[in-house]
Amino acid sequence: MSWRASLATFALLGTAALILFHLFQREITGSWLAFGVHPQVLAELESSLADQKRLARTEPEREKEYRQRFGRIEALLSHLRVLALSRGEIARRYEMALSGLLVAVLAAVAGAHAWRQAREGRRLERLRAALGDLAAGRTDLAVGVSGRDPVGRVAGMVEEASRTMAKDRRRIASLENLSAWQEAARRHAHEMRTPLTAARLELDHLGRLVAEPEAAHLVASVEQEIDRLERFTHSFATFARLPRPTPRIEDLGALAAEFVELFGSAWPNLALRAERPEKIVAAAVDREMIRQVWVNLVENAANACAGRRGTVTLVAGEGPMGPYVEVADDGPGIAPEILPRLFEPYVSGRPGGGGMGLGLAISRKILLDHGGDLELVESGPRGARFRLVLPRLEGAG
Amino acid sequence: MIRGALGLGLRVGLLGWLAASSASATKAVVVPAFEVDREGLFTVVAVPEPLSRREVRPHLASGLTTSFVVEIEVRDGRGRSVHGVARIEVRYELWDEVYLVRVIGTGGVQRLPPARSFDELRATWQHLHLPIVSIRSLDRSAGPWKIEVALSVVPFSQSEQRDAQRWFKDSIAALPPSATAPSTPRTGDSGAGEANGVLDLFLGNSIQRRSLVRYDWTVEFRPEPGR
Repeated sequence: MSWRASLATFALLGTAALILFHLFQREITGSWLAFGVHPQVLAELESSLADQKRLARTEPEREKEYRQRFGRIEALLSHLRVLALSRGEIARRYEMALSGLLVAVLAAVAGAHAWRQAREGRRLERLRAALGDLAAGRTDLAVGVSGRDPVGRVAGMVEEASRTMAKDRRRIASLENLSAWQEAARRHAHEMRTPLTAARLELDHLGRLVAEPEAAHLVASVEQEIDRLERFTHSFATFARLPRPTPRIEDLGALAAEFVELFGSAWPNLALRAERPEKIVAAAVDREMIRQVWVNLVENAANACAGRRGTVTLVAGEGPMGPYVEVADDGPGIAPEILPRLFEPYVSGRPGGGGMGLGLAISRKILLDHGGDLELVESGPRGARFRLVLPRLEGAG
Repeated sequence: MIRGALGLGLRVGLLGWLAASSASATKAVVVPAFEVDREGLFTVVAVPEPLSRREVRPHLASGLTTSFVVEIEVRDGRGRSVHGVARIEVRYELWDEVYLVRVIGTGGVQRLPPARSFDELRATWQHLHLPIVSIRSLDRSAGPWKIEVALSVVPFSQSEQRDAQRWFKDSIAALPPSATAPSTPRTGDSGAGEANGVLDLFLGNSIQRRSLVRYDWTVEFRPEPGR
């Protein structure tokens, strides 16, 4: 309803209410005033005055008493006569006061309604603009409309939809990026495997031909390098052929506790802890692949804490985006310069450039394949904290 | 002889009636009359009598003070004017059954002898003499003066209004009427009490003196030059 229509409706209702009120009120006011100054009342008082005078004549010794009573009745009669003369004005003022009150109440209601209409109009306009932005493909929108009413709820849904869209876009971009990297890794592995195999065969043959100890030492050294290249090739192949997850519904808290129990002593410089949540945190995960993610993260933490003892804590929980497990260490944190490319393949934070830099890329690919994501929540001198976010189960909260 | 005596009698009677009618006609004032006294005070010497009028007479015996307010504007031929007001208060004393008359004008307050009947009151009215305004600033030689006279009848006095207001406020505040003390403040719900107090005051003050009726005259007056 437009504000003009609202105004017209209020004006009509207000006028009708005022007329009805005025008629009704006039009847009431007129009645009680007429009752107060009823001619019979005045006549009785006049009669009473005459009685006092007669009594005073009959009993002269009590004249003073009768005269006092006469005075009181006379005063009352005077007041009533003044009231009778002013009754029109009294009724008019009384009606005016009550009508004014009614008008004030109606005006307040109309004002509140107009304010609410204007506010709703502004909110709807913001919502319309946000929906336009959403339709135009813009994401991470802030509608700026809150509240538990339908408009507020729709605005919340638009914001959530835009966040989901943004997240999905990031996931798709990441997946496309990782797929490109996987393809490259697959080709590298394929291209490297044949010459590496040939080189190893030739080296074996060379080892048999040359008997000199110095040559044997060199052959052993070259073998080590070929082993290393083979490990790299294996890593490439692993990254390139990551299997699709086979998810089952698991309690993430129990899974984390089990991981800690199984792998608690795998890293000598680390103590692993799992905080069990009060409730079951259910998610559909491939437990082996999730374990692999945790292994990668703990491995990175162990490398970051090289030369000193550290603690890694796994905490499962349920957040607005879905179930999650946080993996926090108390190491020195991640070097700021690699943060923007942290999840890209071949980015390593290890001292001396050690490692292939595939651990986090593989981990994120696993989570993305689950329909979730891997995020770095915080990193600083007191450690780093990663969060594995998983999709909410169908029908859950 | 008898016929002559009868005829004489009839003639005398007729003459007497005519004389009485003539005298009565001279007394029935229809417009105010004025004079200027030696001190230069403009004085109303005759005011058309409103006492017998239907809209006035019932109030005279009510016991309330009926005020007759005479307002006058005197304008000379040069356009200069002076204003004056006088008041005649009439209250019927219910115990003694007399009319008390008080005249308030330029000369101060003057209590006239009580009138024991309505006819006496009318007679008192006919002999009213109201010095009302000084006309020294006006030019007596500048043509006839234009006099505008208004007579308003107010049914109760200021003090009666105050008493009635107080009584009414006390009554609607549901407190025992107090003749002398103002309303006792009520305790309890202060917000509602204040709102009621405002309404009481608003209603109480609606008792205001208003004229019952007003008569207006415009007459010319020719002052005697040099007086």
